[in-house]
Amino acid sequence: MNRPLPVLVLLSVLLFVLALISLAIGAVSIPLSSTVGLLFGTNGAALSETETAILTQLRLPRILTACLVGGSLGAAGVGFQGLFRNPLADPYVIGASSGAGLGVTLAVIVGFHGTLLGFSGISLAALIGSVLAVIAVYGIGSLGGQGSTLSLLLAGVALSSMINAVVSLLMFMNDEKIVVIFGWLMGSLAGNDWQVVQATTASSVVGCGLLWSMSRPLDANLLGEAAAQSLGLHTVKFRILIVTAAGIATAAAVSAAGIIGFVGLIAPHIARAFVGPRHAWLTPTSAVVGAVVLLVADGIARTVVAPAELPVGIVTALLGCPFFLFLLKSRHGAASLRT
Amino acid sequence: MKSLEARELTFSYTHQRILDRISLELQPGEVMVLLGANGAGKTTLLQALCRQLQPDAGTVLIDKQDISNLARSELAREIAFMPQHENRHSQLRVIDVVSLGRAPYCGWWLPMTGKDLEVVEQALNSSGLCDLRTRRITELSGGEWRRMILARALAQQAHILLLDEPTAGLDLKYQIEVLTLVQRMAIESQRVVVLTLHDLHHASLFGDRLALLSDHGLSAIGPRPLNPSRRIQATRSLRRCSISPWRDFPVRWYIASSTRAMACWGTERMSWNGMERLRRGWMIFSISCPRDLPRR
Repeated sequence: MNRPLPVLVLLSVLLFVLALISLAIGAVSIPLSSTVGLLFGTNGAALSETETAILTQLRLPRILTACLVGGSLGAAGVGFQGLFRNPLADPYVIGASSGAGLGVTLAVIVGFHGTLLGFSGISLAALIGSVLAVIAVYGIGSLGGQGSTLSLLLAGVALSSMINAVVSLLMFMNDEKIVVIFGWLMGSLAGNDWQVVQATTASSVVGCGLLWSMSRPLDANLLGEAAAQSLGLHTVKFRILIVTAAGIATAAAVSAAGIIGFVGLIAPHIARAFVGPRHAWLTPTSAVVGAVVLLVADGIARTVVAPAELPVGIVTALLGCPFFLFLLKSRHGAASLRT
Repeated sequence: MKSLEARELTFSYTHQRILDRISLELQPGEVMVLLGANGAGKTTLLQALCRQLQPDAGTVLIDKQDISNLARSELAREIAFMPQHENRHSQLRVIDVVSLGRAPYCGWWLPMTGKDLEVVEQALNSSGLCDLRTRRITELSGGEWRRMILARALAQQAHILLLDEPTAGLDLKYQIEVLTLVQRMAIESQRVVVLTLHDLHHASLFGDRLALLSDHGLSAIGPRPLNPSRRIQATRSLRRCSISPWRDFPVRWYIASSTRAMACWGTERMSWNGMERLRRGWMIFSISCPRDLPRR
């Protein structure tokens, strides 16, 4: 716990190795040596045209998207847990998921098929929905100048419940489209191409970078708002910056992969058990842990019932939960329950 | 070395006036103890002094300069506020928390310089926390935790310290330890210290001046008793409202209910906490003190 740099390096190496393995596995199995050869240009000719297309057009963008989405969720989870000083907070705590869900539901019902920056109509609707929901929650939470992290949290919980009810109502009234909506709500990384990777990279880097740059204010905020103010922190600006940064990161994840639960909750806790609570180390470590978790979950989701695949959100919850509970029962894990 | 002055400070919560035209002036190296019943406005006054609460009217001046013109980080270099409650459930280490005291100097984004690290080391040394630097703050005792907060204030190098009940929840040993450190911080670096206490004996031992808050204002302000152990005696009466005090004992304490008056002297045995336990609803209603007594 006192050596965060080696831990971060080791986790990054683990992520790279897992990404290579993920490239090789799937409905069509491709030897690991060939995938490594293709990536580093040594013996790419050994692969058939189809295998090359599978690797470069399907698996590589999908794996990169998984890393970006997992990383964004991990970093956003740290941001929200640090802001609310609450170990239960996750990237969706202030309404991003319910807003995205409403956006998708409306897009599916009205048959919206536009594209922008490589995002499909549904992804765009998710992006817009999540951003609008976060703005609405922040606006309501700060009404009358009485803004505090607690009122923000409560506004998030209340508005999320209301939006979820609207989504359920719309699904109930349009039951012929319920499968499409439900499939998206459970999250999936299938069908992501290079355009999605580009768009997700941009928003992930901006969101995660902003969160990382806010490490010291997040540390100060752990001591309470009065203490943070006494240290010169402008708490209102701080809240806006964290909500914006974490909102961008979450919206990037949601628009690329739908709602993938649990990663944003467990990644910060796992990272905290490894590197402690200082955000300068915690934020990048949580991003890498999030990427590892989602990469493994996606690998399982697309191989366990190949050639079909499971929604990745189901795998993250099914496998992440027991691991998380095991971790919390361990000596270090109990401490990581604290922010 | 800077002075602190509050002029006509007024603050209200939505429908309730808490502070009514409070004026104070403190010189470098001076320790002022704020006394008063729960809800008298001690914490509110401290928060208004460091601009955590925006007063309805009045100004706070540091060396004759209005603090409302200062940026947050500039203000943090002048005033360090220690709230009564801070989150103690974080897994941060002592050194992490003390290092945060340098944020007003190195900024929120830049790494600390060699000078910052040096100041943090000095702060840890001065507060006797060198051996605890890597300890998680969840594992600190109450006294160690208060010392850590004071070390953070030292690292902050603020000229003015505002401490809200720095001895709350501590046993006698830790109370003396913390107050001694506060007194040393004031004397050695000529800092202005304003703190709230409920223990009259400690107030008279460690405060250069005592101020009593009641009825939304400063009911009394004056130097501490010259020799508390000899001059203060237990004298209580349910019948008499005004008992002739020893002439040079500056502060008379009265507690009264709305129906009948009771006069009660602050004594070594009868601490402020003891008085508060008497009955809810009792309040300080009167106090007199010669304002022109020379400082000790």
